[in-house]
Amino acid sequence: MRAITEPRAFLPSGDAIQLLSARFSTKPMLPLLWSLDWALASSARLQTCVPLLVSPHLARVCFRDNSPERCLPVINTLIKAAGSLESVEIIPEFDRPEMQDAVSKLLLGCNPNLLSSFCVASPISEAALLRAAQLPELREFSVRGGTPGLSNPLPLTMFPSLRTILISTGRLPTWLEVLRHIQSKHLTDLSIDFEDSGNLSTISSHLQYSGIHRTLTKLRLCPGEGWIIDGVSIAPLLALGGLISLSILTACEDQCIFLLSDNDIEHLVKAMPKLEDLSLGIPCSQQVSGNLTAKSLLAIAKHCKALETLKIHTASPS
Amino acid sequence: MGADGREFSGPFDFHTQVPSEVISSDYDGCPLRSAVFGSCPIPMEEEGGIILALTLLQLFPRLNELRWYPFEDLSPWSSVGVILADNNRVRRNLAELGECMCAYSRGIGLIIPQLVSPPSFYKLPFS
Repeated sequence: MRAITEPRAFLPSGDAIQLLSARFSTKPMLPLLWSLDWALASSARLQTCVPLLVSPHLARVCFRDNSPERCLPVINTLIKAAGSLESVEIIPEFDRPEMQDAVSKLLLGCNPNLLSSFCVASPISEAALLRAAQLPELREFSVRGGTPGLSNPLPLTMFPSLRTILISTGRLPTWLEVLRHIQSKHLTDLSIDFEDSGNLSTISSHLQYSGIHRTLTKLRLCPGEGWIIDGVSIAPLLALGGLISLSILTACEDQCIFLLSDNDIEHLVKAMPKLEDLSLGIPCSQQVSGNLTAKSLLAIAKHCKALETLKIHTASPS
Repeated sequence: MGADGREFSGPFDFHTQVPSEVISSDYDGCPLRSAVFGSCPIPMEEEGGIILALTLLQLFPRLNELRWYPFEDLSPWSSVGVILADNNRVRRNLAELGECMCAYSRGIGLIIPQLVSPPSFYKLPFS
């Protein structure tokens, strides 16, 4: 068997688990298992099966659970198999110290020449971050939650093979510093969710000077509340001429925070003629109003010859 | 050729400017299929609404999904379908558009029926 999904389908009961545990207590139940997609939604007892499923050949792991009490033991079990892992995806979001420790140990235990994808919805330690940044084959990287400030200098070469990175964090400065040091010549997909107060131009400027702008094709920014999206803040993004997808997603509260003018939109679409998806703002459910008029639509129609989807905040009719 | 064959002297006014005044005759179209307006740009009376509908269809001939927020200010669209109801194929399509917009204004949601039509469609009725 090469792959297995939804173990509950063949391990439905506690009695069966006890039986299997007794039978396979000293060796992997599926010694050739290569991929494990594990969803523990209902039975805490199923977690006892995980040690039996960890094989020396386990390369791909996807784990989802909504309970840290169930999740932690499983991750601690997976640490023992970390040496063979090529892809790790741990979906539940737990911003807890013990989860950070477990996930960081998992990453630190991986074979640097094998791991190509590490996507977790929890924070990682500084040591784990620095380790990830030096993995030669890592192509996909995703973390969530607060990451400690950097106490050590960043290495000269970071994320040399990275294609996709998703950062969801309350500590934006740390990641902006990391972004400036990314050396990958293949990075195409960048997504940042952040809660820090500040101005979008801070991020835009870092992107412009990081070298990422040469290869980036998909950019997704999700600022928290209080951010203003105006012509000044998006000006550095105009260097990202190869973008095919640009999303700046944040919801308006009492008033529209998208203060872009028709001229700003024209400059934007002129600079990004390859855009296929342009999303500026989450549609508001309240009566809010931006500044854009039909002139923006005309500019978009004129310059975006590949555009298929559009979301913008426009001026309300008078 | 771009969409702005004529320079603007001010904000586009759906009440007075028809598409032929701003869209070049050889405009080759933008392949936009889906648009969402965070705030509704549609004039709150029939004439402006019709002009906007035609403008969107001329600018984005493949547009087949259109949504806008907020929902509650769309009642003027209820008369768009009635005004455009005619035997003419173009107007029939636009009548369907108007009916869909009416449905959307009632909170049902809007998926514009197939509006991709022969090139001649885009020349009418303002060419």
